[in-house]
Order: sequence, then structure tokens, then C-alpha cells
Amino acid sequence: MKILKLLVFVLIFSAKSFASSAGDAAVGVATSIGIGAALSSTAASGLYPGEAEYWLDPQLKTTSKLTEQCGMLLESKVYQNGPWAMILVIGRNNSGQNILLKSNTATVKYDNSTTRYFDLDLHAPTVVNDGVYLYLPYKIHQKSDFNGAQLMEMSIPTISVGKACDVKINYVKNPEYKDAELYYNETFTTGIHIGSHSLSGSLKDLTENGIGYTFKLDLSVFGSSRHGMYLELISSSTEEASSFKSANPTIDGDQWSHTMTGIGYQHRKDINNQSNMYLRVGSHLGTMRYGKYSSGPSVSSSYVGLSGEFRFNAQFANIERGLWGGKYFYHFGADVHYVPRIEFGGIDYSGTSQIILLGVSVGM
Amino acid sequence: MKKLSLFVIFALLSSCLSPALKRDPPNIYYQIDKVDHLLLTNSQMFIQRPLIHDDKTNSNEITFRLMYRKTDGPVTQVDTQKSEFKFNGSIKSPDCQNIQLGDSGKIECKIILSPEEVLKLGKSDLIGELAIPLAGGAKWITSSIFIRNEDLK
Repeated sequence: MKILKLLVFVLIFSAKSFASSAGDAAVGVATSIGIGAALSSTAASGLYPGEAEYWLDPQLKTTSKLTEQCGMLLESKVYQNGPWAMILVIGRNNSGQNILLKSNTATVKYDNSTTRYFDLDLHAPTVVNDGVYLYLPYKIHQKSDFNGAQLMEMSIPTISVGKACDVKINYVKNPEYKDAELYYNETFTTGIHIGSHSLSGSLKDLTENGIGYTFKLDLSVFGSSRHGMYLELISSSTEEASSFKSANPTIDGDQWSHTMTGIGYQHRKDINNQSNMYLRVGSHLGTMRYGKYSSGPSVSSSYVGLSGEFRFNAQFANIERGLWGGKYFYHFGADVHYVPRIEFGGIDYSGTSQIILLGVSVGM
Repeated sequence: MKKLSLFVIFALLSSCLSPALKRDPPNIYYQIDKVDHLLLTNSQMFIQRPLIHDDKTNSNEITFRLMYRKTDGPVTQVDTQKSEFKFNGSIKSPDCQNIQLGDSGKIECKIILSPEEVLKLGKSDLIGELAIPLAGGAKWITSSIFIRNEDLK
């Protein structure tokens, strides 16, 4: 989880430190191009984090702050995406000597009495050589920390020109910011679900009673707070129709199974900071099968169908730091999967599969 | 039905990916500099796509954005009216606006490249320099510009 968390953060924010150990001009040029390319590549991504409106200067339309402190020319910006916010510090060592940035003890302090270290998983002391550019994203644990804050002060301890020196960067809340709740939206979620399904239409004739149990795994990624995509794997099974069994005595076992691999669009609607809803529409590749999974003769047929889902998610745990860090939900879901046509024994079947699911998921 | 389903998948993927594809600003050469107590950065340069193509005149309007902040020292003013954009042996006068708020500010400059100027660039990426004089004209603040050629053509 820790590695995944780091990887996700690195991917989204291009969290590369460009502070280089070499101090020559060529490295400085290459580094500044690298920073430009990283800024550009993050901007080109659909997961591009926008500047945090909460701290935006309403007239300059930016969170950019320029400062010269501790021998460095620095620019900082506050970004947010999904559950995270970060302060991106970029700049250049202009002191004539190497500078030690003690990023592992950097803090962010709010006027609502909250003081936090940045995510220690991601930061370590860094030496910035003279003339070299630096590019450091400082991850704030949750953007909901901003709630109620009017002032934010970032502090980065350094050893510059042989002396201790703290870089201080201050932000004031955007007076035009509407005081809506800052939702801590997850960017990635993965869930496991169990439930039951029922078949309708002529599909019902494929099984004995049209009702069985279902297991589902899914993965979601949100490019913005509302819009995203999902991948899902669904497996349902029940007793096969007795008519099919008598007509196919060589088929071993009496199980009918249905697997679906789906992909599609999902819309997230926040209800409050503890719960939300997903609406999903998409398509799936399905396979229905008669016979034992493990061995023996079987009959199967495939199709491409359409899917729709409603899901309600209620948070039961929110672990901010560490190996199991993430936002945990119970959820209730209702799916409908349309099967336009599937053939067994020369007969076409069609209909829908309705699924009711309960599950748990983790988001980060 | 299979075709319809595949079309639905394609449409969904396109709708999700198209915003990302539309937000594809060019690379920038990041700079932060200090001239006469004035800190300057070009990180605002291409936060949004800088090009607007005019189909009627076949010209390209490009917007460059720079941030600055005064540090301690004598008052320094920028003279955006005399700004210059130098590229490929040519000099153009950009249309610049200076939005100043206390010690900080944002300079936004627009230039228009004619079809001939785009042709003159050939297969090169546009590499140029935006130069803005400080009041008095003795010193200039400058910032490098780089735009992918495919954005212009």
C-alpha cells in the first residue's frame, strides 16, 4: 500500500526532485528544461491537479508566490487533486554555496491551530548545489485541513551559508472562495463486493430459478472530483436449467456461470464528507458457461452487452498516514447488465441480469 | 449490437480522454531570475493552451504569462509598452498588460504570428525571447519561449 501510495502520488504530481548533486551550468540548464517538461507533462495529463482555489489570489488568478530567502530564488504554488493538496516549491540556489534543505522537518501551520508535517514517506533532506534548480512537491495530508483556515504558513528549515535559516511562505485565504465543504475525494478506489443476481427475459430459461450469488471486483479512477472511469470483473453462478441438463447429459455438473468484464464512465456525487454516490454506465464482455469450472466437458458462449450501476458509499474509516492509509467505505450497489443476444444450442436468449451488492472499498 | 457496444466504449473513452488531450500545453523552459530587486518566473507561461488560431486570417495568437515580485530595494517598474518578442531573427511588438497587486504582478503578453511568419519557421519549434524593459530602459527582464512546432502548424 505504501509503495502504491507513493507511486500514485509520483505519477499524479510528477513528484520528482530535480535538485541535482552536480553544480555545473549544463546541469542547471538541463534541470530547468526537465522542470519545464515535468510541469508540461503534468498539465497534459487528465489528472492534472489544478491550483487550489482556496488560496488563490483573486486578482492575479494564481497561488504563485515568489520569494528570495535563505540564498534561494523560490516560487511556490498550492495544487489540489482528489484527496490531496500539495505545495510545489520550485526555484534556484542563488547563494554561491550548497544549501541543505531539511524537507523531512518542513511543516505547514494554519491559523486554526493545526500544524502538520508533510508526508514523511515522500521527503528527505536534500542538498541543492549552487546554481542548481530544485523542484519539490510537499504533500499536504488532506485538503480538508484547509477548512476554516484563513492563513497558512509553510516552513522549510535549511542550512544555508553555514547558518540555520527557515524559509517561510505565507498564504491568505481567497476572499472570493465560497465556503463550501472541501471534500476529500479519492482519486483511485478498489472494492470487493458480494451479492445476488436475478435474470429476466429469456435468459431466465438458462437457469433453474433465475437467481444466484454474485462476486465482484472493481477499480475506479477519477480524473476530476466528479468524472472518472471504472473497470469491473463480475462472476455469477447458479443451478443450470434442468431442461438443459437433460438435453446435454455429457456436461459434467449442474452449474451455470456468468462472468462479465466491464469498462465505462462513472459520475460521483458527494452527499457530504462521509458519503457519496456513483452512477455508472458502460459496456461489458460477458461469457456464460455450463459445466464445472475445474475440469470436464463444458459449453460456453460470449456476447457484448451494456451495463448501468448505482452505488451508495458510506465511509467507516479514514486512515491518514502509514501503510494502511486511505479512506474506507461500506457500499450498497444495484447493477443492471443488458444481454442483447447469446446463443446456446442454436437458440438465442436475451434479457437482463439485475444484481444487488454489498461490499467494502478503499480509496486514496 | 456488438458494433453498438464497441461504439459506446469508444465514445466513453473519448469523452473521458478528450479533456486531457485538449489540455496539452507545450513544454516550457523554466526560469526564475532576479533583476534589479525584481524576481521573475515564467511558470505561468502555459498553464492553459496559449494558442488561439484564427481561421479567417489563418493567424495564430500566442499568450505568454510571467509572474514577478519586487523584493527589498529601490522601487522598480516594468515598462510593458516597450516590450519585444525576438524570434528567428525577427522582432515583434507584443501587446502586454501588467496586472499589479502590491509587490506582486502578472505580465500577460499577446503576439500574433501571420501565416508567413509561421511558414518562415519551417519545421523548427518557435524559440524566442520575451524582453520587457525596466523603467528607464537600462535593464531588461527576459524569458525564453518555446512552443512545439506542431501546435503552430
